[in-house]
Amino acid sequence: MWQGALEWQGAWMSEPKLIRVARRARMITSKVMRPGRLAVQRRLCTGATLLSCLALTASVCAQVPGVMDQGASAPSEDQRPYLKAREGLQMAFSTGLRFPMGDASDAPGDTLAARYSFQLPLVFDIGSKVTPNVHVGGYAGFAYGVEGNADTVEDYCDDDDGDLSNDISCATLAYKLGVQAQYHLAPSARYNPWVGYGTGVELVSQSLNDSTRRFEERTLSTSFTVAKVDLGVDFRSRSGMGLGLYSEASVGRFIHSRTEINGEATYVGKVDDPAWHVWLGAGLRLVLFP
Amino acid sequence: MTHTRVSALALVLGLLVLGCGGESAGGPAIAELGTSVADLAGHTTNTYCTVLPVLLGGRVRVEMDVAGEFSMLLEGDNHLVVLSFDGVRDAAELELAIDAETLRSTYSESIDVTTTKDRHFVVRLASGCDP
Repeated sequence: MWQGALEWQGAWMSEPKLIRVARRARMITSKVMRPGRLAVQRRLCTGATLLSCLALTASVCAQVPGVMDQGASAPSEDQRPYLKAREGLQMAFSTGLRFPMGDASDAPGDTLAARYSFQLPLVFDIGSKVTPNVHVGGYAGFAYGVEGNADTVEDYCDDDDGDLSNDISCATLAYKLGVQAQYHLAPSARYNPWVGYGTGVELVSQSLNDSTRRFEERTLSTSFTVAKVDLGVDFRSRSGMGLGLYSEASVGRFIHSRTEINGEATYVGKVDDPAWHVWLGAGLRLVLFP
Repeated sequence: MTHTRVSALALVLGLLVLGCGGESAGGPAIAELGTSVADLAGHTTNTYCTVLPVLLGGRVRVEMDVAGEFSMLLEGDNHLVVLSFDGVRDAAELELAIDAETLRSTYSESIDVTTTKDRHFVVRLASGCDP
């Protein structure tokens, strides 16, 4: 064996160096052979066994790459999930802008945009991911805005007497509550798109307070939200929080209204001529446990 | 800052306050309808003041019972008020619609009603409400 190895090495070693290596090899061989044949055979068997085991392990690992994925070597970056898909509690806070569309009632000129301006919503979602893809839960929130684009109402809300004091305040607050479900398309990916559907109720309160005339008016309109359709995408960070973008179309119709003038209820009852309206919105959301 | 500049600044501010602002705050007057009922003896009862809403979607609904003889129903929103009667003869003909714009100007009207029990009353309507 040693001579064979030396012959192979001789192809690229110089002659004096080859002689020195051959002499050292003979010395080692003589030392190894000295303890006796039995010991030499035992050492050779041990070495052969170790080599056989290494060769067997290498061949098994080469034929079953799945074993290697779970064990010694990690999968490549593009094959590995970005972050394990979560199940259980999930919460989100969202804000943005929403715009009124459609009719508030069938009365002439009573569009949603005539009643209310665009609004700034703040919504809290809470629920559970019952599977990595499916989120079921509820939402609650409010939105702030001002009067709509109806000329008559804008005239009343415009404090233009030039006395440098704000005598008139007009505001709109909307409160909404409901249940929803979301389907997450890539729950273990860095960017997780999702679609959602919800239903609930919404209460829109509009007030006008004119201190110079001592006139106060407040209307409360309750709407049934038939469909709240959401589209969004969440960026899932490894810290347990995520940021996302969402867009929303909320379809509903007012079913009940209440009017108070100077603190006295002047009308409480159903809306006689309901119509369909839509709030179209978009914004950002902060997700806990995305 | 020199005295001249202070004067100029005060003048500009004064012009802004006086020139850019209107004379009144909050648009036109609030539409109000005053109602009262008088019998033949001249006794006035059922004096009401109905303030029409300003906001879109705002409504007002008032039912007035006059001594158990007849009743009036007043329903309105921010641009129209409708007065209807029950327990009187020719109730459909007596029904009345008044525009909010009319109520913001000077308006008055008297309606003679005869109840189904043949009693006579005068319903007086006027824009504005006495304090």
